[in-house]
Amino acid sequence: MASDAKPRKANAGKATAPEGTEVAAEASRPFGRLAAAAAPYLYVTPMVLLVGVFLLFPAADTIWLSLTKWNGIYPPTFIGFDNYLNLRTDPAFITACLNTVYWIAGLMLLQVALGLALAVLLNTSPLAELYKRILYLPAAISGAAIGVIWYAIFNNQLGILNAALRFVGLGDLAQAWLTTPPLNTFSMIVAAVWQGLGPTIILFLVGLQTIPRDPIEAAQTDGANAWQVFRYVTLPLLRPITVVVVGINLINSFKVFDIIWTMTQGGPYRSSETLAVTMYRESFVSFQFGYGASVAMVLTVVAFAVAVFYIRAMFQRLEVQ
Amino acid sequence: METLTRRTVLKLGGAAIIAGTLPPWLLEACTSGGGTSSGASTLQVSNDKVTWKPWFEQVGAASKSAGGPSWKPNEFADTSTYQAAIRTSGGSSKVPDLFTWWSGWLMKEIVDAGYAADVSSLWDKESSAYDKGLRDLFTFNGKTFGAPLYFGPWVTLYNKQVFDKYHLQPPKNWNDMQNVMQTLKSKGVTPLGATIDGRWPAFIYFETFLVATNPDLYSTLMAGKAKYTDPGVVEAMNLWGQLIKAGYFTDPSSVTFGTGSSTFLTEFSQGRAAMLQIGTWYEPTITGAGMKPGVDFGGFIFPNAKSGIQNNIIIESGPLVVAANGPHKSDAVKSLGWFMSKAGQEAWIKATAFTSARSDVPSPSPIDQQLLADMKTGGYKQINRYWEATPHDIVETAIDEFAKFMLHPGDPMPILQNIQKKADSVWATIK
Amino acid sequence: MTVLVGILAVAWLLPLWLVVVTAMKSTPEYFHDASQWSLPEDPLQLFANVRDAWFTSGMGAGFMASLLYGVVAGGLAILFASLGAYSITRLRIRWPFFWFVLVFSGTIFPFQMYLIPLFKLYQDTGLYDTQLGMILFYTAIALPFCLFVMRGYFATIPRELQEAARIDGCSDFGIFWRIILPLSWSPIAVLFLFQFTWIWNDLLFGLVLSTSDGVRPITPSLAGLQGQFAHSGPPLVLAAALLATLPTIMLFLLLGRYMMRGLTLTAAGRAGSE
Repeated sequence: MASDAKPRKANAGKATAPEGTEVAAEASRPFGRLAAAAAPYLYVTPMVLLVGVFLLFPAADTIWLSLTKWNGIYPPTFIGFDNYLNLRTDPAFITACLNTVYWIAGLMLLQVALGLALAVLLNTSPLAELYKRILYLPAAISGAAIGVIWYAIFNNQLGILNAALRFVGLGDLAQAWLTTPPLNTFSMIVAAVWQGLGPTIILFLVGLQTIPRDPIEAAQTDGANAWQVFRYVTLPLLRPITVVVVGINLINSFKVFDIIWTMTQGGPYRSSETLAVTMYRESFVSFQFGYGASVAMVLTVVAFAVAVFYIRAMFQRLEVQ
Repeated sequence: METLTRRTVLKLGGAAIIAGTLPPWLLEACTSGGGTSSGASTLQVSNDKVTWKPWFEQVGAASKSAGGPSWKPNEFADTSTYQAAIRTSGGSSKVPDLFTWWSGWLMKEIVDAGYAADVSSLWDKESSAYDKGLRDLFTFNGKTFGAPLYFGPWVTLYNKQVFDKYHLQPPKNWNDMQNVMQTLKSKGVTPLGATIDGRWPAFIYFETFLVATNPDLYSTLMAGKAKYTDPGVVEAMNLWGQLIKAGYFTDPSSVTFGTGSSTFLTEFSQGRAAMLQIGTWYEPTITGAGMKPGVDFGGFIFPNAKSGIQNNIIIESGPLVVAANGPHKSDAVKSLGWFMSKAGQEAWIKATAFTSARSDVPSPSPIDQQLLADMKTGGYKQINRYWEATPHDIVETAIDEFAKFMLHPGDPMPILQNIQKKADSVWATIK
Repeated sequence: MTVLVGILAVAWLLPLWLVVVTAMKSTPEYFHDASQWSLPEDPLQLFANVRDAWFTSGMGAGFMASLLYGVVAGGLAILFASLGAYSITRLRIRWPFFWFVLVFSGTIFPFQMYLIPLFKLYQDTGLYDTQLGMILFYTAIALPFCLFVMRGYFATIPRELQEAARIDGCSDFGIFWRIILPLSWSPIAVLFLFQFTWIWNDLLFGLVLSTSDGVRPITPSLAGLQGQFAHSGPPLVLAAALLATLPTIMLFLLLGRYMMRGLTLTAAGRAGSE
């Protein structure tokens, strides 16, 4: 590869050298050659440094911290795998694992499935532009603000949802939405879908617009109904974008924090914590930073398995290249 | 009796005025004596009390006009993050000059770690103006750290108009209290406010009923010398559970005390909920919703639920601490001395409308004035709030368990066993 | 079917309507309302609430700080990611895929993975509670996704353009600066909108890495307003929420179409390479 670079760069050097600097260029050629070989690395240096120092180093440090006991006051002390062993019997951790699964399943079902269905409907709608904008709007709002807003909706006694149910005579359906596990997790998933549906729809719409018309028209002339066209033609053709959307949603469901923290703080009695919330709580509320780090590690290992699948699906073609 | 109190107050006041006027003179003498230029003109005051910012600035301005440094508040939006920041930076030189903290076990941690400067001399100077019990809250191994930033007796606030409407008086004993609750309930008014929102309020009635039935057990329990599964604790829990089942509390899952989305205030101001057990610091919040203290709402001390036990009142007080490793430690100590003086407390109370911890600075709230007078005449003993009184790891577990009990009041034993399990493991690491 | 979508769209707007209506009430008015959803007595109260939020609770300083972080960190992340993507796709660099995965792996960790050591690192280095510290971190966290998009997009730019420019005497950097970047205007604009919005809306890192007015971004200030000790009522909090929401919503309303078109372009490029 390096020998490849030489002639090309020398060429470029000759072409760019202004007249009258031949001698100087000639003299600095060995250095210039080195610089030319190093140049591509200079381009990646800023991003590698920033990501290395502010993301990858802290991530690695978390691995070490997860093997320590650290309360923030005295230096961390190494305790081996005790934190991980304690996790196995911690009821709060087990609840958090279960809730994380609820979040993943909920976002898959509601956000991905509903997003796909709406994208298909909107694709041919004359008002698609307007609807797209309305559905996307909440995505511009911060999770903290969404928590504030949806708290007012789900509140048991004065909440808008229960008031509306009573108004239409369905008062029996009124619930303590945020304090009855696991209903509280489902309620918060709805709030998250309110925020996340728009981008999902837009990604699917982008995918739909790249689908060639011919196979669909061919299927239609063959007498396939709308469902069959969707199931056997559109859906397979949408596979690339579906991989993207599913991947993004999977990773996002691991990261959910803001909405839970502003709506229930993981409560009542730690019933709506996800792994992300448990980690924050152990670290920054209970000041068991080492224990919190071990929760972060578990969260990461699981998310990592998902991410490997995601990257491989996404970049198979590029890897070959 | 009354004249005696007044005379005592006057005497205390006189002492405080002397104490309050002297320090600035002494300070000037000191600073002009040895290297004046090193004196800080501004002290950093870190805190987690976002909305207190103007108050810190006002009291800092008053400090400046009294010849001291001004204060620059540095407020953290989130209490947990704030604690984390102080815990991890307290040993370094990056700490602020002054910072707010909590008393009790949370304070013991930072004192043990050497983060807090010893200010015993300031308390010695002001000993006549401050309650001895209060000083004890901030005293560890014979040394006192920090000055009381706020001082809040816990009180049952009640809607006066609702009480008047149903011809009710603030209860003097448990019979009165039961009568009040029954009457309110029969008129469709929820007697007491309760919530699990924000997590911490779950301990309020546990503490209230344990202190009202078995105050000695409360003290030994807090110190780890009794168990949560002891009969006395079970008794208090059962009393609490019985009242929850009787419908005497607001639905803890739908009511919030917080002001971001407080629904209790709506209930309280509209007369649908009549009482709330909370710190006096909550009064300005109610005032902010348009109710006048002493006119629309009042306060009384929660009565004992058993006869023949000592009168107790739960108090809450948080310190303002001088950082031992702070950049301007000696200036900060002097400034804290001024803050504890009469002039300093007057400036602070003027800004905040709080109850002063200082006996010769009157509270602006008629409710608090009454309360302090009642405390004195009734010989009330001050007891530290649950949040500060016991190791914090236990508190964190307990409030979640109490919340479970509030939502599903049944057999308290499993809940108490869970807390005791945590307590055992925590006390094992301390002893 | 269209009716169904219409109903959904209306339902989608209801919560926002609630925010606006509540923000138009005075605090006593709110507390005396039988229901939270009655109409405000005086809609102009909104401006008083927004002004109070701006001045009394540090929201104004947070607003300006977040604006700075969104613009500077968003811009820097795109610049550095573009440089890296250019090197990976167009220059002779060893293991281009390694460099990509190295940086991209920054996005697959849950944020919780960075939190504790970052907090420690910032305490130890003096970056804690500084604007520089915030900008550096936000740049770093925005980088991986920017690299992902720019790399995908650069791959679609024909190599012939580059060769032609080289023959005309353009240096590597010249090709990047004068040819590749101007061609990439659409994904850059989209990325900027995305990253600005993300940075603006971040709560977690603002909460943990900053404290004082002028450094603390707007979302932690908003979260602080909801605190137990705040003396502000829901109308003020929701007015503040509105203030914290306004810039990103305005960006979307003004540039939304452009953003969606840009998204189509990047996704088309991605699908093309699939």
